Amino acid sequence: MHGDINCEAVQQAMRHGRALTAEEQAHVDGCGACLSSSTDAWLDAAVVAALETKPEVRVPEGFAAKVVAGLPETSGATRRRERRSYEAQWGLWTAAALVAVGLFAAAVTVPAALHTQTGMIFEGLVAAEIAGIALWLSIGRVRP
Amino acid sequence: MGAPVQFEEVVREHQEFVFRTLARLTGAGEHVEDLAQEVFLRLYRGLEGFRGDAKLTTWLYRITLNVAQDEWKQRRKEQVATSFDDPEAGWAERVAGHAEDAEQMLGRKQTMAAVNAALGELSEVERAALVMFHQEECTYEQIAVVLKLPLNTVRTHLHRGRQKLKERLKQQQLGERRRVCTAT
Repeated sequence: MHGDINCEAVQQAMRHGRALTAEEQAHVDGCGACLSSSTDAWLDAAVVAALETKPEVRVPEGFAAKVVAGLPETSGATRRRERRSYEAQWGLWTAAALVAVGLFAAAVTVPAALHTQTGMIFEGLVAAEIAGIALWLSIGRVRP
Repeated sequence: MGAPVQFEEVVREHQEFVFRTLARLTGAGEHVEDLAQEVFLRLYRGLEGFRGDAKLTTWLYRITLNVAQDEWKQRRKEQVATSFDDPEAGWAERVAGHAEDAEQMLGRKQTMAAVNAALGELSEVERAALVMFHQEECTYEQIAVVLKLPLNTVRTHLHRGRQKLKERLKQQQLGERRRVCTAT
């Protein structure tokens, strides 16, 4: 408290951006605490005002069209090519796994199957089927 | 999305915000257009993986900040000085009221230039948080999502960033006074 002026009230007024009366302003000029608070309030306001002011930007004419013209090739074609490559990759892995399973099954069952004609036919069919699947999954799908 | 016509619409809708944010984060200049193009190119490349679980604007903020950060990294490597005060931009004058006299206007312009220059000295995350909060009027929550930070950390960065700007401004004011005193 300095004279009739309450420092806390003046400082609060400055924090809230209320205009000071001539008497209050005179007090602030002569009071160290209020002067410091005044500077602080001014700095706060100045920083916020500067930050809130949006910089003026000039987007060049036809910028959007320029961006689109510079895009990589149409994404549809890219997607299709990526999908084909992905499928071929999986096809090859699946074919390899199936061949491994087929070979294992053949190794286990062939000795017993060779004793009968039906067994031999069955083994032949299974082997042909596996080979066909492998061909379909790998060669048929590996296209650029 | 993917059709160029649709994408052109997206660019048109967001181009001002992208230019504005890049200008604030990296300083005004001709480089902003190149950076903005990079932002939209990254957006386009990423659109195929965009599942719509995040808002497009949030995603665009993230890309814009990443592009600005890459620019900063590049500049640090090349040691390029940045001017944040575009003399042609004229935004400082816009803020000043018509009733202001030349001296006040000059003071305001200097203040804004000082704040803008000080922005360049903050950490990337502080700068991004301040620009998003004050310039783009994003909420704490939006900033937290874009910067992938907890809410309280965002608040801390904002507070710390403002304090640093204030400090810088105070130093500048003191420097000005000293100059005036020495001159007289």
